[in-house]
Amino acid sequence: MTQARGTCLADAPLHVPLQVLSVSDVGAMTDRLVEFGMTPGARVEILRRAPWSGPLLIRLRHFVLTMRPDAARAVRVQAAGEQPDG
Amino acid sequence: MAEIALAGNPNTGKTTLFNQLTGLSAHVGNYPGITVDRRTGTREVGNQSWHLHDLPGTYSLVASSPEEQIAHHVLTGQYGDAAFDAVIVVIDPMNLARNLFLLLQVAELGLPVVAALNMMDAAKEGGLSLEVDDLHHALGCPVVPMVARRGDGVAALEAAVASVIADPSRGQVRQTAWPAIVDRALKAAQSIPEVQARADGDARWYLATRPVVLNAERAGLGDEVQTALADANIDVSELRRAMVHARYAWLDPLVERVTTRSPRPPSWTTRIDRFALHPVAGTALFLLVMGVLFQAVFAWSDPAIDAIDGGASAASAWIASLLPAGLLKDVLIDGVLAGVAGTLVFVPQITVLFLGISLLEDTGYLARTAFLIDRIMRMAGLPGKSFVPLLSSFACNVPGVMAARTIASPADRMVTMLIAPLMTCSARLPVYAVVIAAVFAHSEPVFGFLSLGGLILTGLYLLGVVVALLVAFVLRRTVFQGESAPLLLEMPPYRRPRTGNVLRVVWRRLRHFLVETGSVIVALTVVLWALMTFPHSELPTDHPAQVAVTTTQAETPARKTAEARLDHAKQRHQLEHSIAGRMGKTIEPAIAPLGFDWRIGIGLIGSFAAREVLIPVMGQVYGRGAEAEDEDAFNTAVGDSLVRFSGMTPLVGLSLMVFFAIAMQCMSTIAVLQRETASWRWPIFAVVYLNTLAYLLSLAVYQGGQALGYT
Ligand SMILES: Nc1nc2c(ncn2[C@@H]2O[C@H](COP(=O)(O)OP(=O)(O)OP(=O)(O)O)[C@@H](O)[C@H]2O)c(=O)[nH]1
Repeated sequence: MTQARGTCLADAPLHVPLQVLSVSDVGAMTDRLVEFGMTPGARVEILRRAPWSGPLLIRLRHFVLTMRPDAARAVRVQAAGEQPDG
Repeated sequence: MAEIALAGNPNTGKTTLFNQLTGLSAHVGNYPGITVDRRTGTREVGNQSWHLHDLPGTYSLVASSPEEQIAHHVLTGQYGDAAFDAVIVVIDPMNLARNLFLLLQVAELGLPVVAALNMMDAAKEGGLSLEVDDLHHALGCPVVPMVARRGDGVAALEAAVASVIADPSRGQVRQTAWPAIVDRALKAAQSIPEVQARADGDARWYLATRPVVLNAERAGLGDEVQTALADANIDVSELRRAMVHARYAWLDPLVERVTTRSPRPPSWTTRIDRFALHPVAGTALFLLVMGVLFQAVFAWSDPAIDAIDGGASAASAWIASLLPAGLLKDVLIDGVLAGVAGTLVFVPQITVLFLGISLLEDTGYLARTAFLIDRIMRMAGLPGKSFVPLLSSFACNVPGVMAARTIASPADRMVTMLIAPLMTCSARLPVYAVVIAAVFAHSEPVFGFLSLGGLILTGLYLLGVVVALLVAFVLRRTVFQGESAPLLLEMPPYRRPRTGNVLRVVWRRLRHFLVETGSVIVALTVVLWALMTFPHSELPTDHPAQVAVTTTQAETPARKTAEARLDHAKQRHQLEHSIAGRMGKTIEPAIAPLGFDWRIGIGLIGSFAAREVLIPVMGQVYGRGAEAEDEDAFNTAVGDSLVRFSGMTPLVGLSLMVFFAIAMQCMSTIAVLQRETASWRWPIFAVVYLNTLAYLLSLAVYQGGQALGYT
């Protein structure tokens, strides 16, 4: 399964260009995320993590959005440019 | 008349363009049942008249918020609109793929579209260059670059829309190639006769599958489609995901082809955010901004409120001098005028608060506050956006409830509005002040330096907050089940606020409040007045006050005093024998366990008008105040009477204050809840739950206190 590959966006390092591998389907929240453009291959970067597991500030494609770590857990990413076969 | 809609992601300049197109003809209305503005307007083009609809900003037509539902409903004619001749999709070129995603969805409904590439100036500044012609050829529909704020490109847009109206095929988009699952779903849905009858082409399956995609439990067409899909072995969530991926899979290479980005130094927004979202610096800035906002609502509106109060008294004195004494005069002055004044006093705070909020929203800072406060609000099960409404509620619950409009999720907004009355508003302070002065003023300082009154006051503020958090917790697990709407928020670029826009928002809120909420407040004031006025009852002729007047010599100071006393005695007699007075006596057995006598009972009923009204109502109950020279003396007299006649002890005082901290003793809040939820159900729910809680807590305080040996 694709789930095993890459790291989870919630745990990914700050300020590193990343690339989306997959977004698991855990309800309306992830639907919305995919509609926002969090599709396989899209570029993401974590800009900031609020303290005490607060929300993440993320650059997705060319805009900035904020979301909670639990939502970011549904997203698998890898460093941008790596071969997607992982 | 051609019908044209404007759709687009939030913050793409849709409203700016709408204003450019419609000028002064714009009209703001409401969608049925929800509090989202509906803007329409007209534009004359040649000998044709265009009717334009500005839809709420949305990222997708598969709804997850009321705004998105509206956009979908309007476009599919569910509000009874005629089919649209063209839909202008306003597009931010900086986020081309995400914006075109919406354009595809609109096109899939079978509607002719025109892409308005707005903010081309900002795009150029951001280092983006765009092959507009290539984009047009790839999409198929007209693509018009523009700068709506300057009016650039409006003429070209007009021409493009006119061409699409003349020949709708020009507004078609070369459709995405759909994966097999979508084709299978379409085929399955088409076995349903109703679906076949609804529309043609792609619109048919979109309309058919959408209810399923949106919400599996939705009744109607969706059920049949769901069965059909299940029969065809199609997993709905897989279908839904496949549709999204297919659109992006088609858009991504296209966008890649037509755009080039040259590297730029970090934008202003990025640089400001390094500071504004910093855990330390950002939090400090946040506290400062919120402090100023709160101070403004709480304190700076005071002079205006006083002026309105003064004006209202002057107006009622003037009108009183014009009318003959009688019932008509009473109902006009004490009912209608009091209600109007009771509405107007909220104007300063509402104005200041909405000035602040729309400034924060227009600059882009409001979205940042959600990021900054989310962690703390999450512990309470509330979204970050409920912070500002709750904060404002400390000044006054009425604008606080209104400010909840910025919360997109209906459940979150409802919970916020229902707990807002628990924030200690400024109208409770006079009540606390009188009670504390009456029974705690001479208490020993705690630890030698903390005034007991001050501690109690702090405790009452905390009590409201703690109860609010508990109530939110319970509501989340019962009436409004499920997590609060997940935080997923775009951080818009910082922008200079536009004065016109800010003032328009404030004016709309104010007008809505004055017209809609105001009429409810006036009606409730008249009802309360009637309760305290009927049935009419004359003071017995052998009443001592009556006798005192007849036995003193006319035109003497003693006679004047006697007459003033008689007036008070009459008022007191009337109040005691009115419906409200009788209610006060009737409820005495119920409130006696809280330590309240029937006099306080009348006060509780009378202060329903507004909490601070408790003091004058009590003055009337005790027939006191004739001698008081100013407000302070009056308050002291009322406090003394509470102790002397109602047997108020420190424990009773505490019980009374706890009751006021929790109970919904404010019909303006009820009125605003009624308007904002568009139903009587929720305000009634709020009154019942708050007053029950207040009762139980006061009961616990009084009975518990007695059991512990306090008085
Ligand atoms: N640089 C630039 N800014 C623009 C342009 N058009 C609009 N804006 C700005 O974009 C911001 C958002 O404009 P609105 O018209 O409120 O956007 P909207 O799409 O109606 O936003 P929602 O009400 O959230 O749907 C405002 O600050 C405008 O001044 C433009 O052509 N260029």
